[in-house]
Amino acid sequence: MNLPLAVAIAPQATTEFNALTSVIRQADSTAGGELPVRWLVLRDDFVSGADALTVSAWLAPQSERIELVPEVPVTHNEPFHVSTATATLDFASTGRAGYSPSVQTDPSAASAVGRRSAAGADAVWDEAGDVDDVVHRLWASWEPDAVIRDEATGRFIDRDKVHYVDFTGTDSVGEEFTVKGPSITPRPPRGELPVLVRVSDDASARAAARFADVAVLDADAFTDAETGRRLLDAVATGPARPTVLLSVALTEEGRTARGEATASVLSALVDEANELVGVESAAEATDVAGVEGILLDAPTPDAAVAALSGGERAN
Amino acid sequence: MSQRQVHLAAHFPGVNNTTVWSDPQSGSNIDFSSFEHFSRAAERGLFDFVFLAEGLRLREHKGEVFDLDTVGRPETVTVLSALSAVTRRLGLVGTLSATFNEPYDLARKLATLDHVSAGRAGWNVVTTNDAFTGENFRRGGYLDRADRYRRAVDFIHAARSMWDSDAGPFDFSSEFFSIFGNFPVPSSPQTHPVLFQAGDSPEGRDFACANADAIFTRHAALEDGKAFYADITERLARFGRSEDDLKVYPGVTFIIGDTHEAAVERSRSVAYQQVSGPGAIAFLERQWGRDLSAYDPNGPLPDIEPDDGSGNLSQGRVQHVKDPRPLIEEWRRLARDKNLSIRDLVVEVSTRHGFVGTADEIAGSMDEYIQERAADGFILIPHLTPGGLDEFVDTVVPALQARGVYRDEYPGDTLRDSMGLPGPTPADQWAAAREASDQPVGK
Ligand SMILES: Cc1cc2nc3c(=O)[nH]c(=O)nc-3n(C[C@H](O)[C@H](O)[C@H](O)COP(=O)(O)O)c2cc1C
Repeated sequence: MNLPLAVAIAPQATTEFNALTSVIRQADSTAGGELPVRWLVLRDDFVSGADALTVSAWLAPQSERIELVPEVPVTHNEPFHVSTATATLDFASTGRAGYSPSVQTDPSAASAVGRRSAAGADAVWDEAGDVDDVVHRLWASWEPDAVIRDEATGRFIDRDKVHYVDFTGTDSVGEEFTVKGPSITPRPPRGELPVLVRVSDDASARAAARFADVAVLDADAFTDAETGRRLLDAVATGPARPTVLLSVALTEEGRTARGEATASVLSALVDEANELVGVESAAEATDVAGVEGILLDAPTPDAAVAALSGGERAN
Repeated sequence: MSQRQVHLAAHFPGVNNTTVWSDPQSGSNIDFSSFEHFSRAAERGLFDFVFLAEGLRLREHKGEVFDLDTVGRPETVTVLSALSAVTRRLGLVGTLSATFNEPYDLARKLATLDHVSAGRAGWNVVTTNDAFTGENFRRGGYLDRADRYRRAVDFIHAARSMWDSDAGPFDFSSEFFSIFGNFPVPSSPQTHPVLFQAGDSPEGRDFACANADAIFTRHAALEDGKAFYADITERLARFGRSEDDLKVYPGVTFIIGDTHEAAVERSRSVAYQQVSGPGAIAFLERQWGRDLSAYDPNGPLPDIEPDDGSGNLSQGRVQHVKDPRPLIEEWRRLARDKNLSIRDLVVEVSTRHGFVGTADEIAGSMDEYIQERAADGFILIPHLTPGGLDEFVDTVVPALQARGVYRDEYPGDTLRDSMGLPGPTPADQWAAAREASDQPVGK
């Protein structure tokens, strides 16, 4: 079955380090099975849990197949560090990294950093778009064949293939920020990492339309047809045209509201969401903005392990 | 055992010409497999830690990205975290700026690293504040050089307060920060990662003595090292600390041979690998402050005078020399006396390798340095990636063990255990000791 599938761990639970090693083992072993997990998302809201990217880097050598997509807080952090850290995750995982920008509207995130005040959803998502833009430019600031090791001329790199980015963006409080470049980290193995955006309102839907490769719609948006349709249309009316996943909350025991997370239960959830917003089938969803896959939102690592092994048992 | 024990650590080959990229054995400086190979060798040798330097902007020379040395490195915390999964006891020490980071974010990352590595995290606090590097960051070059250590003192105090909070509240106000909230990460195995410092000015040394657990220094030769060690010991006393509380690790290069003569010969050929013709010209250009590309590296030294504007010809490097004139005069004398070309001269003055000899000779010298208190340990800087430690681990480590000055197994689980450091001191206690000392740290 071809359902694009992601598993996410709640931000408060990313300090359950031992349990996370079970998640990565379990998720990695689903490859080739009935319900292969493609992306593992460690969530990070910046004010709870551990640093998700650092934890993902630790999981990288412990896995072989799964793609690691940490949330990366961008509102109060440096775009330059975001770029080099995500590129490095891609090196550490030999080409299995992605990232998901997480925005902070919370005053407690602002006061923990102390550089600027909190801003609303529109402003932080607009900034996240600029951050993502410069992050991509920094990844690409080294051309793939920039390293030449040319003994005849004594040159390690061809500097014509390493570029300044000279980027100017606008931050969430309306100030200009600039990044000179080039990156200090060469182009990551993937070239460009896939970007996942969580969509819960109009601002995040606009952001997903602008720059997401994968958009994850909150299940809450699908409680009524109108909201679901509006967000789906918003996500589809931009240059990015992301793959759309629906988030499905897991219980502590790793079950969905419809029982175990089996292939048939998850496809039924996709179909239901599409029916609600007037899409005939999952196949049609790629053309007319519908739901294509599922992200399982696990409250704990144990719940994720239970869900993934539960799926195995049922098949 | 009355003999002081030798400690070893390993600096991943960096982005300067110590690293030889042209050798057939030279591998990738960026692939994770290189970091893994290097770290596994260090752990096989029971080293205290692997050490990563950092530079947050690519070096430039004559207004362009400098292309003659190895270029490019990974983000420090991320690669150390990945390394924690492929090693078990090796410490993981990263150089991270106190200027272009913020305490909350960095403290959270380092606490995370200390958790996933089960207590092996270390942080080399650097204070680079130049506007050149600042161009990659939101704030630009916002910090005065005079303020670099004052901000760093406050940064560390804030970070240690967060680590002390055990997933609790923090509230820190100073001239540089006004921050409060809940630190979300529970206490990590070491509570405080091991803090290193690597600045050399009097302020830098006081900063280390008042705040750090270890110093990374370039004072490596025996007499120089003893003088540095004595100076540090004296400064420590002023902060109510003793030499047991702060470990001194000079960075050292080494060349091993089957015989002493073979090592000397190898040292010479490695030196010529480290200094290519164009590399020799660039080296002189940094001192002369002007373009010397018209000169032949195999010919005599330029007879023109250095540029007066103390030209910032080269950016992104730690500058060690202020007025180049006396040095240039000395080089001219040396070149004349020994009949040296530009390249010969640069080899002569810039590539002296620290320990050159047979494995037994190197073990003997290292032992002597430690007993004489020129150092507490050494951070080895090999010239090859990723295999540059292998021979050392296979030959010098057993020789040190045979002398009874090197361990046969790791003494404990954490980096503090490996380095023989005491447990963490709470942030408030550090602050109280600084105040009691009457030393104007970083002022
Ligand atoms: C041995 C040594 C290694 C250093 N390594 C780095 C480094 O990797 N990255 C960096 O930004 N600065 C590095 N520095 C610079 C120092 O941290 C410090 O900012 C600089 O030396 C200025 O301080 P000072 O005036 O006290 O020497 C190093 C300095 C020394 C002496």
